[in-house]
Amino acid sequence: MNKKNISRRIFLKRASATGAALALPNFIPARLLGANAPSKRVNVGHIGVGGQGTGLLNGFLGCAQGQSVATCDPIKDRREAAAKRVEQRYAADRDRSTYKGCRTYNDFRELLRCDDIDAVVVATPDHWHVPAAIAAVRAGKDVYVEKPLGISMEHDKAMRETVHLHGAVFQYGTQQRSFSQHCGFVCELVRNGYLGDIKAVHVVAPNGARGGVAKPEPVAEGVDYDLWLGPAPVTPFCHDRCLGAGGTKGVYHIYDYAIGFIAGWGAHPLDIAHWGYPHIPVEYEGTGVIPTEGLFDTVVDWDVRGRYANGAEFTLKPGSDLTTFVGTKGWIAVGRGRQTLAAEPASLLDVKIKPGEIHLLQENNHYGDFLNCVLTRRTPASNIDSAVQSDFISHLGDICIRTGRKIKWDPKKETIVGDESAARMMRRSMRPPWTL
Amino acid sequence: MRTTSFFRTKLLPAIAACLVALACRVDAADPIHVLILSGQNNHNWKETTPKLKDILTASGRFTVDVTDHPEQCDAAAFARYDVLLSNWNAWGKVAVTNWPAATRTAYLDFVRGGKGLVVVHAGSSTFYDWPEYQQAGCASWKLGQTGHGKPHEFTVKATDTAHPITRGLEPFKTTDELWMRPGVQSTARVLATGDDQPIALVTEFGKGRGFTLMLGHNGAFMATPGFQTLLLRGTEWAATGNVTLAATTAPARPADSDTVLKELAAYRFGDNRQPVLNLEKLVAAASTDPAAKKELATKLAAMLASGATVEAKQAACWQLSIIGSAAEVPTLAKWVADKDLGYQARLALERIPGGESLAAMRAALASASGEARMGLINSLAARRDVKAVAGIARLLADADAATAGAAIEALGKIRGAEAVSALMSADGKVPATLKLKLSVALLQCAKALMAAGRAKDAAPILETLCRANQPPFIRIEAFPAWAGMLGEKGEEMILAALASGDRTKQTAAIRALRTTRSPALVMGAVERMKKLPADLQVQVIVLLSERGDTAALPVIADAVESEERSVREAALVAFGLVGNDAIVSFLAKQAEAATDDEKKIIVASLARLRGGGVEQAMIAELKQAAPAVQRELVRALVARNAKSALPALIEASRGKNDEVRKEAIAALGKLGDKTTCPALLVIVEHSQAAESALVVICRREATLEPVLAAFGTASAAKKTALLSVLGGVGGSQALEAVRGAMKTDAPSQRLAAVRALAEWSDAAPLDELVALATTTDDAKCKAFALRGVAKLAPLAKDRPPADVIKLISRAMAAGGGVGERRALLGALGNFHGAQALKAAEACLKDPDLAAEAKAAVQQIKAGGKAKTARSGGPAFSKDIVKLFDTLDNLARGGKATNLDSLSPDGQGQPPFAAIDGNPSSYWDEADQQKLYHIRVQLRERATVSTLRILGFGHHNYAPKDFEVICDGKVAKKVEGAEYKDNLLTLALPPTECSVVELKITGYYGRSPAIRELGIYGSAVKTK
Repeated sequence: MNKKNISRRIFLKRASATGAALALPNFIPARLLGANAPSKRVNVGHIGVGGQGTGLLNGFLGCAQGQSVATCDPIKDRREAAAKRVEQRYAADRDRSTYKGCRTYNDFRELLRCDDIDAVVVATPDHWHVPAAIAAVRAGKDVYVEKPLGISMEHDKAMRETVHLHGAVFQYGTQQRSFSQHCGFVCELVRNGYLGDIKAVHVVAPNGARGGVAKPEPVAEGVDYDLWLGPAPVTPFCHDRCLGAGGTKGVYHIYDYAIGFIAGWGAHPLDIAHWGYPHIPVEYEGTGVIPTEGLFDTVVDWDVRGRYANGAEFTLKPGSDLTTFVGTKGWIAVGRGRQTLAAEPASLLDVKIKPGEIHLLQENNHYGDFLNCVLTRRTPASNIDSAVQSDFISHLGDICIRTGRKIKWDPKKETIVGDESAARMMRRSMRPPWTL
Repeated sequence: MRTTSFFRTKLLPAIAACLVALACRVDAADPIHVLILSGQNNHNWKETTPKLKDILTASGRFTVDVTDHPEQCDAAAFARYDVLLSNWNAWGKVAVTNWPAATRTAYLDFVRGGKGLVVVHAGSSTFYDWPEYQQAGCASWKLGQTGHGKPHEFTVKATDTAHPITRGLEPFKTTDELWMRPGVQSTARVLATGDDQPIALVTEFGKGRGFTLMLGHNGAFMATPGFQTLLLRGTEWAATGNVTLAATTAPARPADSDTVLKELAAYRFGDNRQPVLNLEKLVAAASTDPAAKKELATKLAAMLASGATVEAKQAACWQLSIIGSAAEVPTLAKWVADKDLGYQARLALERIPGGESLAAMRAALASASGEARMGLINSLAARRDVKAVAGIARLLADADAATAGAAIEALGKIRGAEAVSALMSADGKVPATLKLKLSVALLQCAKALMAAGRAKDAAPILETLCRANQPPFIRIEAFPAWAGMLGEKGEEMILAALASGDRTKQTAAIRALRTTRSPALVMGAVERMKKLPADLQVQVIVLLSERGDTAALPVIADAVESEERSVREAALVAFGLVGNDAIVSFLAKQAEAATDDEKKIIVASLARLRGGGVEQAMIAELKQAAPAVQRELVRALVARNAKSALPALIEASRGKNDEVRKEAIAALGKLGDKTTCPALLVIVEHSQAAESALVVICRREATLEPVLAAFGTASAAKKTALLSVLGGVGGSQALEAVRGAMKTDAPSQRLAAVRALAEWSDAAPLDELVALATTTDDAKCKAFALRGVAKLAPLAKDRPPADVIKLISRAMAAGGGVGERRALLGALGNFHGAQALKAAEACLKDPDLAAEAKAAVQQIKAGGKAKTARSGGPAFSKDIVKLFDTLDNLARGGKATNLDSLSPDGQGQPPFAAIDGNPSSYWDEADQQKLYHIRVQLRERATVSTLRILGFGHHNYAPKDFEVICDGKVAKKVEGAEYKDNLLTLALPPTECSVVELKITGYYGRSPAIRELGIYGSAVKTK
């Protein structure tokens, strides 16, 4: 192809309507872009390598555009096991013959001082998400932050301000946006008006847990408990607080570190809800139970009912994860698993979104998407602005339950209105030396 | 006894019903499970159902579910509940007027069997023609007899003081819609009345109990303690026959805060947290009552100096953060440096709005030290207290680096002129470890100034931050704002930075381009793009595509020619976002010299192009492009769902180039409709692709008409193909057609029909395949029929397993070949129970069948579920299964062994799992070995031409470097196998052989697992 034949005129002749910046790239599987010995790799540090953090680590190890170079955790066994995993994986990879090894750190501040690290993955307990991520951005790193976002709504706002101020690339850990492409398809249907006007959004998320043994013990070997607690108040060390396993870990269900699965699991279907219908309810009321026995004290058995500004209904209940959009032209429900997809009329599922319509889907790998955005400075699939909104919904649900009152939200001023006591619950303080 | 009534009337608070839970909770009892029937009612169920649920839940005695579709419920749906509560009726013109028999039976059986029924208000008014329903409901609105006035206040009193529900119930006033003269069943008993009208009734129904409460016209009327007591006790009685919940009819009184605080005072970590929860509820209730709030806050503040436990004081402090006011600030300030209460006291000061809390924190800051001081710095910063700047600024020079650092960060948050001035003065004076913090704080100040429209004030800060001695990322972040302020000079700076050869400057310049409003600057900049390192060129291309300006197209076109792959790829992606119909030709032509990855991007970009005329341009290009380009254009047209391209695609399906033809035919399948079928029918006997396309169309359009119409006049070869199409489509109509076609003298047609049946997508033809297998003499027919039985038997889920096992056994005895019998054993593994076990064990003695029989026995013992996905096992699409579990796969029915003397590992199985047609089971051996060697004896000698591998996961435990060996000779060497969605397809040089081996030396993951191995070609004997 002789490129001399191409002149500006040919391209400019038939200018089509462009105008608005298209922040959405094509759906190119992440493994394609920069897949084989890319010109530049993103060096990644992993802050928090417990259960979820290790899962993310494995995911990132599968991405050719990235290179994991450091792990950090106040629990010694975890950071060392993670580093070992990294080194084993790269040892078998011919492409990484120059790999120098994976460093371990107890204190994330040391990791952030490393000039060779471009980006960090934050998979700490919830109360650490925003403080660690903000510190990372202020050290010049891009961040992948696990959900839910912040332990308080003030934390959410601070994260957003920091990301925008520094122009950092931020990916929220709501991986369904990439890995569960049928969710994006549903949201595209909603955004492009195939359901008509939305009358209701119903969200279901797995219930929180009761339990945990509140038995004070000496701090376990290899655990830097003070660092683990970080900004949270000091309480006696218990095994179930820090070292529990699976879905009934203290970190998910203790109010000092999290507001519970109403956010911890709720983040996923709420994120899909917001992706399809980018609004936030302005009224919340609901009931729930705060367990009194055992260590865990976050809300369970919640039943939140809300209302959007245009009168549309919102509900949030416990159960198998599902987001249902109900519109004037039909309804559609979707959860993480493809088999949950259901619609009325069923023909909605056969719709093919046209080139000129709104497209939401980016890449099919959430980690690869983040790394590519670090390299290209694009906005990742799950950005900070929507993360803040969906996290707000969890918090407002929790607040309306704990206060027992109807809570009103002003989306412009971003504050609870007409209830000064409830508005105070939007913030928490932090144990020094930690700050936002 | 006196204390008893004191306890009852004074110490049983009735706030928010939840405190009823405190007093009345039966510790050891399991909660009672309630199902509310809702979703339709001539009253406002949307309001009343949630209220009913709240009341029940808050008591702590019940768990409550709601169904909005009782008419869809059956016995199973009701089974887990102890009591049904009906807030549902079918009064008036409604959607659901009847319950199906299953629901009716379930409803009555539920109660008769010993469980409970509660009916609230109008929940009773329905199904007047169903006597048992009325009977269980105690009373209902009787037309012509019952009436009501406007809702008014009346007194409810117990008439039956012995019944557990009303025992000890004191009279209470309530407002509601009172039903006069409802129809009361003779089997019902009135427990309480209002104005002499029945209010609460009970009945026995079979072994169960019914309770009906006539109150509850709307949500507001349900708020009285009296209503709630009757509801709670009535529901508990209906479920259990007993009542443990207390009766309280007194109106809600202000909580007895003294008791709550007294109980809280002894709370220790590890105790049940009810005292803390009670305090939280107390506070929540007091929050809206200024007097109660003030009183409670005072008491909480007083608690801090009392003898209460530390944990209690912490809880009190935490609650003060919610209801405390300026009045409590002095007390809280005293505790701010306390080891145990400091966190909570500071939380309260941070949360209590107003100047007093700020002043207190500032004062405390002056005398605090260490961590307490740092906490105060942080809290004042969190409040953005401008008055605190002076005090914090003094700490910038503190000897303790952590404190100085906290001070720097705080000023960066508070911002404003004073803070800026303090930070700028500190520049150059802070220790090296704090330089970065200072720069960040200054950047925050500068950006805040810019946002406030005070660029002039921000300028000196930004200039400082752009200096060479600043950390690179600070310079990168500050530069765009700095250059942006300087107008033309700034634009020159940006261009100079791009050309500077200094990576930090270049990165900073690109950031500036992202936010500039000057398109001319952007175009000027991109002309210098080639001098940038590849990864920065990619950033520029991406920002061009985000801006969407078509003027950038020539630059993007240039970039497509780059030697750097990443730049090329970025340019190809950008075309899709910026381009229009004018670039279709250029973009498509790139496919000629493109790599496979680039081709995929080209297709995606062509699919993505917006604006008019794109499809026409693609169609025009398709007609005259080179074959490599045509193929990608076809794919892009499919991605665009471009039905307008069908005529052009039909033309392309007749072209000379094999690959283009196949692609076009597949496209016809994906986009076409009935009118497309004639073109496909013409070529169907020569083209497997056309067969598939017809299947796709027929399925989508839900019609067989084109195929059936063509059948009559078709040649033998075409008939064979059409039968295969019918088999692919499936369904009863196709089945009839295939059965009809079987009644023929033409052996090839019969065979094709049998084959179609054998590959059916459900178990409909199962019986006739068994019959065929046992009666036919034709060996080929028998083979196909038996394999069909093996394939379809596991799908026969709606038939009694015993019948299906019998069929399999009959098939096994039909005298088929070893391959067929092995396949049947595989099918047997899907079942469980003695019968299946016996059939499998019978084959253990046969050396040819021993391995498969053993596996089948294992699976049968494991419940016959082994073939379904294990935990973490993905569900496999029909397409994937079809690829391998087909007679086209010469490995199916063959024999697989390993030559590496390794054992199966983890969930992996011996080699036969790779050829059992079931992707859920996989061959996998010990990790990290140097060599893995699997050997497959084909079902029959064949000329093999294609190999497919389905790994364990995509590039995760799958063969990567291996040799394909046919009858001892290496046919193909593979290095760095690239899978597509975990599927590897390899073309082999056509080689005649009976045995195919894979010698694997490299793998993804820790071992080369194979879920399915497919070997395709043509059998050596003629078809």
